Parts: sequence; C-alpha cells; structure tokens
Amino acid sequence: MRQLLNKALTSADGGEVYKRDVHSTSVDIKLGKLKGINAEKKREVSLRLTKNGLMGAAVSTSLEDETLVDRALIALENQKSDAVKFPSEPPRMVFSFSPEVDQLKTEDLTKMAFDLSHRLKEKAPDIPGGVRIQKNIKRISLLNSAGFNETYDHSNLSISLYTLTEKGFMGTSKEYSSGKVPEVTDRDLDRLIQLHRLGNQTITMENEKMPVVFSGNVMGALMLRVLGGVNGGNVLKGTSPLQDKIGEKLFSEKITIRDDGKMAFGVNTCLFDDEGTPGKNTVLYEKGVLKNYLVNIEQGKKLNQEPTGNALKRTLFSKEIEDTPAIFDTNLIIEGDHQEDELILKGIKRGLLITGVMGAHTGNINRGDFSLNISSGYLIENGKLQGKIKGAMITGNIYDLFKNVEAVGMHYEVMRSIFYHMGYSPMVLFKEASIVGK
Amino acid sequence: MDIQYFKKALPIKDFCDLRYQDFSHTTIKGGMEEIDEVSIVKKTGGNVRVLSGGGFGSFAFTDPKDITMAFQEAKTASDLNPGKEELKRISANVAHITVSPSQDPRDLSISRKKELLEKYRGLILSHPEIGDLESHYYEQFTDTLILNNHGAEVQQEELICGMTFRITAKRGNLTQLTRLSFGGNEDYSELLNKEEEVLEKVQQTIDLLEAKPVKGGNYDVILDSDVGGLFIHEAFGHLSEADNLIGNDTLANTMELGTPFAMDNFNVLDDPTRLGHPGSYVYDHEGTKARPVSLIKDGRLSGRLHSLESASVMDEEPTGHARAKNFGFAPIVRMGNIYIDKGKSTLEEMIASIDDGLYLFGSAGGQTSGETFTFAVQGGYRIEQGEITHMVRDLALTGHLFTTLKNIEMVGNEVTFSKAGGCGKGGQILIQSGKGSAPIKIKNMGIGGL
Repeated sequence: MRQLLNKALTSADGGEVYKRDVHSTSVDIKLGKLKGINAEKKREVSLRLTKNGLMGAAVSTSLEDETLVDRALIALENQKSDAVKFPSEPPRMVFSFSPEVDQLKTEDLTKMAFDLSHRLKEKAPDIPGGVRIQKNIKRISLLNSAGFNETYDHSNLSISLYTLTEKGFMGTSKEYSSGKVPEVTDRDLDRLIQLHRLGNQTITMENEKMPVVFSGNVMGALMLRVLGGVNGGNVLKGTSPLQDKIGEKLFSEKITIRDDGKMAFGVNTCLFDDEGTPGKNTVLYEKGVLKNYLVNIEQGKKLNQEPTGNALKRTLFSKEIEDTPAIFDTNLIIEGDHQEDELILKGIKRGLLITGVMGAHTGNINRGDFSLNISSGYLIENGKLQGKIKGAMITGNIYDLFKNVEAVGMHYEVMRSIFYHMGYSPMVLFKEASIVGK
Repeated sequence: MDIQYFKKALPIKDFCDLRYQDFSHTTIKGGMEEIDEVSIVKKTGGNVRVLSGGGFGSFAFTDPKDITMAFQEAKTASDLNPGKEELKRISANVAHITVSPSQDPRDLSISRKKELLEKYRGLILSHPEIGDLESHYYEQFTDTLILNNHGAEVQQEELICGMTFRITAKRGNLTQLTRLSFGGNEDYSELLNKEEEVLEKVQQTIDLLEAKPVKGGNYDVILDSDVGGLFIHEAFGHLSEADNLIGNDTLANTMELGTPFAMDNFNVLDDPTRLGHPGSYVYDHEGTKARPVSLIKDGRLSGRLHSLESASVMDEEPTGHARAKNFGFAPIVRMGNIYIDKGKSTLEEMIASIDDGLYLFGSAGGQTSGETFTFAVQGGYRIEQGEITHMVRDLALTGHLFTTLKNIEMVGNEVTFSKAGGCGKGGQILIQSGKGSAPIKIKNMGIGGL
C-alpha cells in the first residue's frame, strides 16, 4: 500500500489507498437438500488522489495494477470534485470481529444449516422450507498522505430461514445478521410456522385506512426513505425535503432513530468509514426531532457538521467497490417507549401486521414516498391474527406515516434494504396507513 | 490473459469449469450543477466450479495464484453435498467472439463522451421547472475466458454503452420524476442525435406536474411497450428461470409445460440472439451457445430458461441462459431479451375498448416474489368512454401473476424494446438484461395511487 501511495504522490498533492480483502462462504439448503456452496477470496483496492484542489479515484483488484494512478488522474481532470482534507485522527476500538465466526469452516456452516433445517422440519414436518447461511470476513486497511494508517477486521454471519407455499412460492421468512453467531430461538421458529399456517386462510382487502404494524425486518423499506432524507448529499442538492429542518419535530415523539457505527458486533459496525472517519453514533431523530444529517468530510464542511462516519464504498445495489464513497447507513437503530410485541398486537381492534413487502426501491425515495406491495401481511381483528392478506398495497409518505407512531416493540430484527442489511428495529405500530385492496 | 496457465490448472477429474475475466466499467455522472463523477473501474478475477458431489461448489478469486486453492475449495464444497450429481449435457464449444460496433466507444476519449452528456444535460436544464437531474453515461467491457475439462474453450468480448437520465420537474412542493435511456448496446453512434427525444421527455415531465393523482383501486389498463416489458420480466420472466424449480417439485408442477396461462394468441419469448439490445449475447457464462426460447406459445407454457444444471435436472436442453454479473459470482439462470410478441390490435382499438381505465407509460422499477409482483410507472392517461381524457401521475401496479396473465385481453401489433436493461437476482445486478413488448390491455389491474 505504501509503495502505491508513494508512486501516486509523485504526480499528486495528496493520496489515499484503501484495501479490502474479503473471504466469504454461503451455504443453501432447500427442502432438506444442499443446493450449493459458493465461496470467494477477493481483494478490492481503491486509490484517491488530490491535486490542485480537485479529487479523483480509481478501483482495481490488485495493488500492483499499473493503470490505477493514471485512471485516478483521468477522473480528477474530468470531474468536478473538490479535494478533501484526508483525516488523520486515530479511531478508537470497536467490536466488529468475532473469532468464533472467523473459525467456522465450510463443514461447520453446512452442519449449522442442516441442523436448522432439521429443527424446522421437526417442528412442522408438513411445511417445506429452506435455510441460507452466509459467512463474511473482511480486513479493511486505509493509508493516506495525512498519516492515517489503520486496519480493522469485520465478521458477519447471516442466516435466513424460509417456508414455501403449496405452490412452491415463498411463504414466510426470518432473517438474522450479526458480527457474532446469531441465536435462532424456538420462539422464532414457532412464530415462523404460525405465520406460515395463517397463509392457508387468505383474505382480500378493500381500500381502507387502518392501524398497521411493520415488523422489524420490513422497517428497512421505510428506513431507506429516512436515509434518503438525512443523506447530506441529498440535503445539499435539495432533493431531500429536510433542508434547513434541523431542530424541527418531524416525527412522533414516540420514536428515536440513530445510526450507530460503533454498535458491538452490528451488521455494519466499522472502526472507520471508507474515507477514514471513525465510526460514530449519530442521533438522527430524537423523540421525533431531527437532530443530524449523515455527512462525509466534504458535505460536513458545507453543512457545518462533523463527518459522521457514513462514507461507504458501495451502492444501493452492490457491496462491491463501484465508485467513490457515498452516504449509507451503518447500523440504524430504532428506539422508543418499548412495549411487548404481543401487547401491541393484542391492542389492535382491526389492523395489519406486515412482515414482507416488495417495491422498496421504486418511487421517489428521497422525497419519502412509498407504494409497496404487501407480499406478506396478516389481518388483525380484536388482537388476533386472522389470515394472510392477498394482493394489497400500502402507500403513503414517511413524513406523514412517522407522525403517527403509536408504539415500538421489544424484539429487534435485522432490517433489510433490498439486497442488504441496514441495522436493527423492533416492530413499529403506526396509528393509520392507507391500504389499497381489491 | 494467459490461457495456457488456466488450462493447466483445470483438474481432470469430475466436472470442473473456470471463468476468468477482465472487467472494465466507465462511468460519467452529472447532477444539477455539473459532471461530478468520472470513473474507470478495472477488475480482474476468476470463478471456478467443481461438481464432484451432490451439487456444485464454486469459488471466486482475484489473485491468479489462488487458482489451485480455488479448485480445491470448490471440490471440498461439492463433496460436502451428499450424493453424486452428473450433468447430462456439457458444453464443449470452442469459439472466440469479438465485438465490432460501427462506432466503438473505447476508441473515444472521456472528454468526447462527457461533451455529449453535457449537451443533453444543457437541453434538459434549460427548462426552468426542472428541479433535479441525474445523468449517467456507462460503458462496460468484459473479456471472458470460459474453460471446462470437457473441452469447452470460449473467449468472448461483451460491450454495452448507454445513457440514462432521471429528470425531476418541480413546482412548489410537487415533484414528478421520469426516466430516459438511449443505447443499451455496443454501438456508440446510437447515442448521437437524440435532441428531439430529450426535449419530448422534458415536456412530458413538465406536463406531469399538471396531471391528476389517481384513486387507488382496480382499473382496466393499457401498458405501453416499456411497462409491458417490465411486467413480463418481473411477473413471469423470473418464474421461467428454471434454477428456481430445482428441488422444488411443487413449483415445478405449477410451471408444468402445456399449462394454460393466458389467452390463445398470447406469446412470450426470450431471445439473446436478437442483436442490439441490452440482453444480446452469443455464449452464456458456461460456454453454452444461447438460443431463442418460446416461453408461452398460444397462451400455454411452452419452455423455460436453463443453465447446464437446471437442464440436466429437468432433462431438457440447455438454452444458454446461465450468466453472472462478473467473475465474483457463480452463473445463475438469467433472462436475455424477454418480450411479449406482437398481436393484432392497434393502440386505437385498445383505447376504444375501455370505458373507465388508464394508459400507463414508462417503467420505473419493479419486483417480484413468487406469485405476486409490483412495479412503478412514470405516468399515465385516464381513459374514459373509449377516449384519452387527461394525464395522471404517481402510479404503482400490483397483481397476482396467474390472474393478471389471464386478464390480458388485447395485444398490440408492434413490439418495441427498452433501451435500458437491468435486473437483480441473487445479489447480482445484471445490466445486460433486455425487455420488450407490444402494448397490452389488462382488465382489472390493481393500481396504488400515492
């Protein structure tokens, strides 16, 4: 890395070399049979250069790539990107790596997947299903011309359990993702089976406004829109509705949302972000009041805010290094006046529990609009789940919906944002939402 | 690329294959103010697979020195799978495919491409009610070597370039977003002289500010070719990917060939060999030569898309549809260019047949989960008593696949393909995925207004 940086500095004012070594393995079991095992060991490298107040970057799979410096200079000369002052603050320790996960061999992952498959089968021999386990180990190093020279390791183990319907389509699912080995409880399996069996009674909805509970994992579809709003880049461009709204109460006082890059063993915990800012715990909404945006070094300067450690080399649809760092969540955490999940559901006279949606990536995300197909949702009447609803959508805007938070549950689930995980949330009850039915 | 090095590394026993790839992706992006991002990404790496046990083991790597370890790891993974799976048919094609567009984007400087993007940006931004703009030039070139230990040796170049724009019009608090795409193939010259299309799209985006929202509910709808292509891709195309059926007998029964899915004169095909679209290619990433597949013929399920493994398990012929985003991923079954073939109706006849409905234009992304699908559209027009009356906005569609296919009542007489592709499956976004359709009329479609 030093050699590449030194070479780059012969034709630039400043430089940063980023290296990510990834080793991952995934195991899939469907209907009790191993579908396949895929693994990878890959290196990703990125070089950023500053020269005459401008900045450019290039990506490769090797530190020895002879074209890296030239490509970064082409980018620098052709794009309008202001040079940033590379950080030098040494980060403090975070718990992002578990040797327990690192030591799991392919054989161990396969056994773990079969064990889970058997547990599901024992509890419900008549329900077909599957298990997917993915282990991911990363070593991330960053060296820059300001003196920053740090490395950290990151582990992740993700588990997905699902059932299949009589026709062979997805029934219900449950996901886990953690820096440590997640615990799959009997309660979770029982819940999965209960929801699957409710699929036997399908219910058609009319157009209706009603209380709605989003399960923790589905909160990701809404949090993608929360993220679009607090993204410093969108605020500066004027595509976020949150320009000049810091300090205003925009959501219900019953909800607090923060982004915690330092969370011990979180799905996206990091010692530093992909431009060297230490991982931080940033409160976005405190009891409904907008407190901070998520910003990188350059945006922070323009918005008069310290960088929040959210500049990450990924995109909405890819975890590979595709471009320069952009603003993404680390571990988004939803909090509030927590109530037991069962009590929340029991208190609903007529409403919906939504555990799966489609279309999270469509519509005007930054404006907060959503129009989601409810792929997995259950009608609640007098506190009891009645059956699975069919062919309904939920539509609205998060800046209306989040004013109506009634309760926040206790049991945290990992949130999913299209392809990837984005933090943790319990179930959240909204007083009223528009359901588009038959 | 040292072909001999890779050939020597290929184990003799069991079924083994290797894909090694030089990958480059050039991006020029601009926001409202200026071109703020130019990048040329270059990556190199490989992916090996071994079938020695009851299923494939695969391993991706970026350091060519890891190749022996990669084969060992893939074999260990395959051996962990109980049983012994054999492929019934294996590609042994030998070919070298190169690209030769009439104007090769790789011969042009970054500044020339930037200049063209700037020209279109200038046209869009000259309208005062444009509130946001994302403009994007992309160019992806891959040189892929595919080898297996049964004699396949395919080296194939693939090139795609295009421009996409996301145009937002803004008036007070109201915003409307549309998308515009050019190119989607190897020829840079198809990006030139698009001023008229750009101005038409800008006007449409501005007009949407005057459009009325629609009350959610069920409507008779006409989907234009772009939305029809998205519908058939999301709602049906993914189910025709046969890797979803492996080990899932119930789904395989649901998708039994011959099952009636739609009206008699409804036909769906997938054809990677149709040149000039995002999903056009010669060989797939297992070295199988791609061929057109009839998926629905005269309303009945007539075929499906296969990899070597899915064809073997289902005892059908491979179709050449196993592809991967890049070397970092194992190939999975993907659509090439899927489309609804032309029927007999004119657009005028379709509009005249609707008393109370919608004509929807411009796809804006979609998703499917088994039987149900959802997708957003850029805008539409209200149809009342057989005539288009006014523009409508903020629309998303949802439906149940089998019901919706049966509700297709009319098919237009001309197929148009979309200029932008893109499809996500198994964590891989593949930009080389094309879609097209004739306009279609569907009765009783679920519409979610905002």
